[in-house]
Amino acid sequence: MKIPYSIIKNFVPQLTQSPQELADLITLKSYEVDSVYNPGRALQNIVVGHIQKVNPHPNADKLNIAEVLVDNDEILIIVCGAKNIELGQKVAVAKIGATLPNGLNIQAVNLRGQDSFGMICSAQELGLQEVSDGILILPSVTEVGIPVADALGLNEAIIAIDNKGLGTRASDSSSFYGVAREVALISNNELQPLELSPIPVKQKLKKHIKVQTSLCSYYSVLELSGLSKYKFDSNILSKGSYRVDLYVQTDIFKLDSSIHRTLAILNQKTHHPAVDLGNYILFETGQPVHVFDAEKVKGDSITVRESKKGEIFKSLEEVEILLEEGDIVICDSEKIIALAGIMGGSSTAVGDGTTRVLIESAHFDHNRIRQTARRLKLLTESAKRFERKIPVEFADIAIQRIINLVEKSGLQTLGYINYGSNKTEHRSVILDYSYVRKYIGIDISDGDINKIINSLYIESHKSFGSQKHSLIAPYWRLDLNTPEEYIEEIARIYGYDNIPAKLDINKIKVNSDSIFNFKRAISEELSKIGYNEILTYPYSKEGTLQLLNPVDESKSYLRQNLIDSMVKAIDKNSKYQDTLKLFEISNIFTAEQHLHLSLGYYHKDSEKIISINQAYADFIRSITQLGFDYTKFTTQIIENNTIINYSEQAVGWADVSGVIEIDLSVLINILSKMSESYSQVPKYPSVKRDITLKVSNSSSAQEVFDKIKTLVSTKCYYIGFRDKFQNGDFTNYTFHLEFRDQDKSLSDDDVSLEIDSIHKHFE
Amino acid sequence: MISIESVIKEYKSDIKKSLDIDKLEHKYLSRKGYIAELFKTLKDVIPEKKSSYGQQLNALKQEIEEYINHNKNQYTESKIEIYPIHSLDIQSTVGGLSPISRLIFKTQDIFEELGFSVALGPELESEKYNFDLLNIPESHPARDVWDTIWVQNPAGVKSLLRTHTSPVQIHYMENNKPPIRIIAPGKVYRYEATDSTHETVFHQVEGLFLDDKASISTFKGVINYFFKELFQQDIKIRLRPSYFPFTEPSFEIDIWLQDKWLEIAGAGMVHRKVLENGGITDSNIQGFAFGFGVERLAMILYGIDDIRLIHSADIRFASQLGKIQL
Repeated sequence: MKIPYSIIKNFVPQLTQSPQELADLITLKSYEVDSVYNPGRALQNIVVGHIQKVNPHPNADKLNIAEVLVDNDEILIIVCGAKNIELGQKVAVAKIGATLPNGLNIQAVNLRGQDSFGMICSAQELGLQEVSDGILILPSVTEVGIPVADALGLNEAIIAIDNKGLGTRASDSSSFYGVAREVALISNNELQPLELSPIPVKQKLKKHIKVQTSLCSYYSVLELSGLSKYKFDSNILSKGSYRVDLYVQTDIFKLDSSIHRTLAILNQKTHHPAVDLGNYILFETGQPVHVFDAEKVKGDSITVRESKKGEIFKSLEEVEILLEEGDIVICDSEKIIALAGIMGGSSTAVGDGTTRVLIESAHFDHNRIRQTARRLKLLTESAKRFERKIPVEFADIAIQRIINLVEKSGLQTLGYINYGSNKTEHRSVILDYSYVRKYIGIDISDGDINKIINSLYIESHKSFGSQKHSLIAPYWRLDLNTPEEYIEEIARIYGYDNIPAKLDINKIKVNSDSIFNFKRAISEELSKIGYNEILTYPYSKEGTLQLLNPVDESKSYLRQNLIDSMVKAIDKNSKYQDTLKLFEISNIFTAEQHLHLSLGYYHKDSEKIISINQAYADFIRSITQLGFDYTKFTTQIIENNTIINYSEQAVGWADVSGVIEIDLSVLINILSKMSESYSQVPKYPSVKRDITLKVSNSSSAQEVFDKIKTLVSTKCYYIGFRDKFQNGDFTNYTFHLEFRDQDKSLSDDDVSLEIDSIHKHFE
Repeated sequence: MISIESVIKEYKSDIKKSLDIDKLEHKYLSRKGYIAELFKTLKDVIPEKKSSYGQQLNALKQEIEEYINHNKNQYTESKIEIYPIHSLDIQSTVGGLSPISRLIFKTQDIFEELGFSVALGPELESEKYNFDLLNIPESHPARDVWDTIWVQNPAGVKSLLRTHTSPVQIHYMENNKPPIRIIAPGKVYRYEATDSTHETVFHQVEGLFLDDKASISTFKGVINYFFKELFQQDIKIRLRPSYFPFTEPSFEIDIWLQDKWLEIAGAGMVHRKVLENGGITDSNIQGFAFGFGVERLAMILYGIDDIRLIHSADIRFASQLGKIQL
């Protein structure tokens, strides 16, 4: 929702905040502001020029050479290709150095032998219209030399409010007046009333209203006539003129020029003035209205009903739309003339020669409008408002406002008819003021709460001798239905900044998820020994679980392993690094999710088998830190896959590609079943030692390794092979041992005893 | 094309022949085994029969698994001869956690000091937990905010990848009584066009705090403490009005950094309906929930300019971050 600052100021004249200050205040107290911007700022260095001479270009049929006065005596020679250029026109001239909204940078150029010092712009080039044919012609009265943004009235601060995240406050904030009301509240200023005129209830419209669905609780129609004297000259548009001409030059509809200017600023397309009026009413009051050409509405009644499956509705853009069962439609005696709350049809469209119009202002079920609009992808300004619920009271306000605006333009109101209830049923809510204090955590007095309640136009009745108050919201606050919703109002007006931050919480026992802690512990162990954690995408070419709307069509399944991504990661990174140690811990998806770990080791000179061994050894080394017994890990080959077991239970596999993958869910299960209590993170540091043993050449490393295993105490949680050196009849093997005690810090002496006993054995 | 009947027949005959148990496992249960192949054909089964076909298939799979587990006791020698054929590299070079893990672990440490425990929930979620129980009914316009990636299993059952970590609130409330203090870190998914600030998979940390007096004021205390500890300095924070269907009132949390307000988290007092949906009907219980995007915070903290780097698995990116201490 975009709102010109001047409009807010009209409704709240005492407002002292600048546009940016106001935006900040709205952000802090009310709702999110997307931006504050000035549409005229995009038109810098573009000024009003007066065409003094037009001569054909000697070397090009389609080009003219114009002399354009842009200041008191500055005349620019500009080559122009527009067909509609004429002597005496006031035009928009982009001077050298200007940048158009489309990014085009204006420089001096030579066009077929003629130097050109600027550009005469079309409305499209100025970013004012989507398409235009020829240059923009400004009213003849326009002052030469002034910025075009000023001439078009585009120099204005616009506050853009983010309605998307607004939820239930949407209906109250999707209109100029709604926002102005909010601004008056939060800036502590008076709000000017919306100027309304009474509805001519006695002039009965000569059509019946037949409402045949409960999804339309209120329906009203106002007829206006006298449009014939304002012939709509669509040629003006096709000649490339801007809407300014519509109201300044041709005077076809004497609406207040600010209405057209506002629509221009909001980038609304130009329509017949009666349609523009309807659009303006939507923005100003928040009530969508639809304008029919009265002559084209056939028969003596208008019917509101639900569509039958397969019915066809022809939209304003002449598109045939196939309806489902239950879309709300408006019909004349012949056909569907509007898709209720969303869009009008072509058969009754207002256009050239329209002399009378019917303006519909009604209330439709927000859920049904939402369903229809979303299904048909017709999220019009009207649908966006209806789908978020509009107070039914808005319907009459819109009509009263239209009458007020057209009275000034000499149009006559011919007739009016309405059907249904135009009052919102307001349920009262009981609010306990002590609950307000407890919920917010502040010591606010009853009086101060009442003050805020009153400023919001909320009716309040206190039960005698109690903290309980019965509250009734004003009709425009459809969102206030629970005590907590009222508390939000009190809290935000009180000011979130004024609520103290208190950390008066008692101590409670921490009991974090063991899977999470396990994941954390193993991640930290792996990173300690040089592994880098990576994250890869979960999408795959194959799998069990299929994505119904994949983000990448070629990968429409959830992955079932991490290996594939790890292999790719190694492949990619091996271009930059000689050694890689990578791991990932993520869920994979079979029928369910399982937490997996993948581990990849790469060295440019290593064979794959060595890399797998390294990755496997590193895994064992890390996992033993977490309470697993490394001697219980075994491997087993099934064809090309090497299955990794722990205590004869499969926990993962190694892939020929050089990556191992572990199902952490299984490991965690094993861990939780282990009898000894598992300390999540080792409390005491480990002691690391290397030991070199001299043995005869007939002893294999495996034998030595196995022997060491029998010699060390349970404090030794890891034994790894480091080196081998043959010297005559003897071989020196070096092993790496790590020790840890769960209950205390190990001293060097403790470990030395163990090392000594190993040495002794091999002497 | 293979059929379930033909596979059953072959399986029966293989058992009779006492086929080697590993071969049997590979033939039927490996990633390219018969069962996996059969699951692939499931998508071609007419919708009405999908569920019964799926059940039949699962029963067969289970039968084979049980047979194999029962008979598996022989171990072959491994090609990976871990100890000790090759010299292993046990130099401890410096590795590194992803910025995401680092931030999440740091978050855990800070919140545990305040008595919060880490809780987890499934990434594969139902519509009920991701939306309905969080007070976001089908017709709610707010559903559009969460662009969902929908998932279908071989039996044709539809589920989704959670679009936020908020469902953990419900799971936890269903299984635990107040006082509740949890944070729930994890992956979330969105159907979204990616760019430098948008990803289809990213991480959030959810928080939930319920007892008989937790107020907006308590929330401010907790969140102030968190950011102060995280940034190791006094951080200016502000709350401003927002809207989420599962909190009332709802806030955005901004932090003042580099001379501007940065939107960093969403929060609010837990909606009564959500409490009720989680089984908490005691009107004395109240509290707050919050959630923030880990990537967004990581990008601010580490100066990462493109969210897509997080999932790029590019080691140059990771090792650069390794030098930054948090």
